[in-house]
Amino acid sequence: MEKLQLYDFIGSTLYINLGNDRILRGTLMAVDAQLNLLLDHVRERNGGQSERLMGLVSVPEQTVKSIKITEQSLNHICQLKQDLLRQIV
Amino acid sequence: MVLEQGLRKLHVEEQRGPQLFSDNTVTADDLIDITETLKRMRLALQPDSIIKEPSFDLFEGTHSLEVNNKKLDTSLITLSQEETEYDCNTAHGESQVEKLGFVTGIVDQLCRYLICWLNDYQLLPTTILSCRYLEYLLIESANIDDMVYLKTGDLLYDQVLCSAIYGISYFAKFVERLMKNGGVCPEEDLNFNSMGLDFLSYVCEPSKINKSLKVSLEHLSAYGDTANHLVHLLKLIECLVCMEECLTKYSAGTAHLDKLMAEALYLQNKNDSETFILPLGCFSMGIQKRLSNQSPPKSLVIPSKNYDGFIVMATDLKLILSVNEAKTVMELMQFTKFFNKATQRHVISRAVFFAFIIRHDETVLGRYTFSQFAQLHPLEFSLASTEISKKLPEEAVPVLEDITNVLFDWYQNAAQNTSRYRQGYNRQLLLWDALQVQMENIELEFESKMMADRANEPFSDDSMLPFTSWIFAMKVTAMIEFVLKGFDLDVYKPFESYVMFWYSYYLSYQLESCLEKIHKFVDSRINKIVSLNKKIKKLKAGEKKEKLRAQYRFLMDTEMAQLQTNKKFLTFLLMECTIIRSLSLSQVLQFAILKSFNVIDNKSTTKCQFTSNELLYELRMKVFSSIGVPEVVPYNMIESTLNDFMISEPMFALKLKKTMECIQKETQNASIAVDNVIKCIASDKDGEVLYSATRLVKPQATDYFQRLKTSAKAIQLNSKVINAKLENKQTKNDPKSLFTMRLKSCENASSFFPLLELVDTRRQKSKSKK
Repeated sequence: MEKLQLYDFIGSTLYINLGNDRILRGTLMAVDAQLNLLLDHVRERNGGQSERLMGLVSVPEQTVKSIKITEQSLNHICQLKQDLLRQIV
Repeated sequence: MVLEQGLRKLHVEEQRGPQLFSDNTVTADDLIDITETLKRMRLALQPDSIIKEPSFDLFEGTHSLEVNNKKLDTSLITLSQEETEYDCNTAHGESQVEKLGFVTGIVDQLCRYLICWLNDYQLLPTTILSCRYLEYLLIESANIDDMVYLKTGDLLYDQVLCSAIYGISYFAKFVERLMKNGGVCPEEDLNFNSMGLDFLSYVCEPSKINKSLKVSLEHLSAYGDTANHLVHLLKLIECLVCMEECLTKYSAGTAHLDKLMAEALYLQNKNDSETFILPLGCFSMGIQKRLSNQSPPKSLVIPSKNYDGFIVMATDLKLILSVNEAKTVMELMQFTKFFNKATQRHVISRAVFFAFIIRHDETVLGRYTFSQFAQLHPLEFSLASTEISKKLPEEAVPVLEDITNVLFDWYQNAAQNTSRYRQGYNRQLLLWDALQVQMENIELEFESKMMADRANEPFSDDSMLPFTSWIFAMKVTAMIEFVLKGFDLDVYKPFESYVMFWYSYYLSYQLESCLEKIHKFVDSRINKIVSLNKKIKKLKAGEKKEKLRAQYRFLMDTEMAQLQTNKKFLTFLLMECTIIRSLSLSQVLQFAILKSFNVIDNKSTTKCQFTSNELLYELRMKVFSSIGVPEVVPYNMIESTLNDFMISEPMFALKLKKTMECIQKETQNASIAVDNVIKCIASDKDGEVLYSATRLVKPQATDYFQRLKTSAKAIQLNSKVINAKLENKQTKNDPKSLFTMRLKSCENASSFFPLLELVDTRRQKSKSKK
C-alpha cells in the first residue's frame, strides 16, 4: 500500500460519498494534483431514490466526503504493483 | 429446514449490510476508505499535473457533468411539493368537468410537445418526457413487459389518458426506430434521449393501442361536445400510430396522413380559443433528476400553439411516399435529386426516405434487385444499345456491387440535412473516382477484345465507354454540387468567390463535354436504327430484306424507346449544365470587373507568416486533390485565368462594356434555358426535345430552377448597379477606399449564386458611428 501512487488507481472503480446520502460509483479516468476526479460510467444513488446512470462526471475535491474502493480492488492494485516492482528489480 | 435457511440468510444479510448498488453485491463493509491515502499521494504531484487513463482524451472531459454545480448537476434540480408528491393514481380535479379539462390539457400539451421535439429541435426530457404520467406508465409497463393502466378509479384517467399516452409513446418508438436506421444524424437532426426508458419494445403490433384508443373514443362519446377537443386529439394520435406502416408494410397509402392534416388543421383553428389548466406538478423537470441522464439541467419548453407542425410533417411524408409511383430509375433519381434540394424536408420524412426505398427484402422499392438497380442507372443514361450491355464481362460484376454501394450512399445523402449534404458529397467524390478507374480498365479491356462503342462508327475514334461516362458524369455533378453548396452554407470568404465560381464553370464545362459525347453516341445509335428502315425500303423482297426487317423490329421494340428517352433526358441535363455554366461565368466576369476596379482581390487580406494564398487555395481544393480527372488546376493557372478576364488600359471603357455585354448574354442564356426547362417540367409527358423525369417532384424542381432564373436576373441587375457605382465621377478615382464586396443571398433566388454586392463603406461607417 505504501508503494502505491495516485497513478495506480487510474481505471479503478471508486465509490465517492458526496454527503446527503449521495454516492457515486465510477471508473477513475483522470485526477489532478488537487484531487479533482473525473469518473466515467458513473452510477448514482441518491438517498431513497432509485439509481441512475450519469456518464462522465467531474467531482471537485471540495465536494467529496470520502473516497472508497473495494478491498478486492485494492488488493488487486497492490498485487499488480508488487509484480511490476519485482519485474523491474 | 426452510425456516433455518431463511434465518441463516437473514444472519448473512445482517452481517454484510445492504448492497450499495442494485447491479452488484458490494456493501459498505466491503469498502476501504482511501481518502487520506489519496490526499497524501497527491502531494507527490506537481500542482499543474494531471494523471489520466492513457486512452482517455482530456478533451472529452470538457463534456463531463460537474457534481454540486447547479448548472450541470441534475441532482440539484429543486422540485415543488406538487411535483415531488404528484400521484399518478389519483384522479385530479374536483368535478367531472375539471377532470375532463385536466386530461384534455395533458394530452393537448403532449401533442404540442411532440411538434416542439420534432420540428423545433427540442429535447425529449424537456418536452414529452417531462410528463409525469408518461414516465410513470413507461416504467411500470416495462416492469411487466405489458401496458399498465392507471388505477384512479376514473376512466378519463385510467382509459382515455393512458391510451393517448401509449399512442404518443408508440409513435416515439417509431421515431426511435428511424433514428436507429441511421437515415438522419442523431442529436443534429433529432434528439432521442430516452433517459433509459423502454419505449414499448414489448408492444409489437399497434392493434392493441388502436383498440385502446377506440375504447377511449367510445367512452368520450358520452361527454358530447364538451369532449370535442379531446376527441380530435385522440383521432390525431390514431393517425400517428399508423405512421409506421410506411416501413412495417411499406405502404404508400396516405389516408392517415390526410386525416392527420385535417385533425391538425381543426385543432390549430380551435386552439386559439381554447386554454387548458393542467394539474400542478404534472409536467416537471423531475425526470431529469430521477432517471439516467448525461445532460445538464434544462428548463421545460413552453409549447406554442403549433398544430400546423403536424401538417408540415404529414405533407413532407406524403411527398416521400409518392416516390413509390416512380416508373423508372430515372424518375427515382430525379425525385431524389430535387425533393430535399431547395427546402430541407421534415426530419421524419428524411429519415423515412432511405428506409422506404431500400428495403429489407434487398430490393429497391420492392421492384428492382440491387444488381438491376445498379445497371439501370447507366442504362437510362448511356448504356442503352451498347456492346458492353449485351455481353457484360465477368470482371464488371464486383464493380457493379461497388456501384450499388456508392449509389446507396448518394441516395442516403440526398436526404441529409443541408450541412451534412455537402459533407456527404465530399465523401462520395473519392468513391466515384475509384469506381471510374476500375470501370475504365474493364471497359478498355473489353474494347480491345470486342467492339468499341463509338459515335458514328467507324469514323469516330472517340470511344464512349458507357459505364465510365456515366460514373464520370455522376462524379462531376457531385463536384459541382459540392462547390456551389459551399456558397449556400457561407463556407467561402468573398475573396474566394472567384476561384469557386471559376471552378464551377470549369466543372460544368467538363460535364457538358461528357454529356455531349454521350448525346452524340445515343443520337448515332438512333440514326443507325432509323437508317435500317431506309435500307429495308431500298432492298428487294427476299430473305435478306426479311432478316433486316426482323432486326429492325427487334431494335425498335427493345432499344429505340430507351434511346429516345435517354437522348431527351441528356438534352435536359445539358440545358441544366448550361444554366450552371452561364451563371458561374457571369459571376467570374463580375469578379473580374470588381478586381479591375481594385475593389476586391482574390487574395486573403489577412497576413499570416505561416500561410500563403497558394496554401489557402490548396487547402480549399484539398477535396479534389486525389481525383484523377478532372484534375485540380494549379494555383498559377487559376491566377492567369483571372488575369485573362481582367480589364486594363488601353480602351478600358470599351473592354468594360464588352465584359458587361458578356454578363448580360450569359445571364440571358441561363434565363432562356431555365424557361425551357420549366416548360418541360410542367408538362407531364415525354416532350419532343426534353425530358426531365421530374413528374413526381414538379413543384420542387420548378422552384429550384425558378430560383436560378431569379439569380440570373439578380446577377444581371447587380452588374448594372455595380457599373453605375464604379463609373460614378465621385467614386471613380478611388473605389477601393469607398467600396467593399460581400456575398449576399437574394430572396427567392438560388443560394448557390449569391450576389457579389458592392457595399459603400462610408455608409457602413456612418451607421456604426450612430
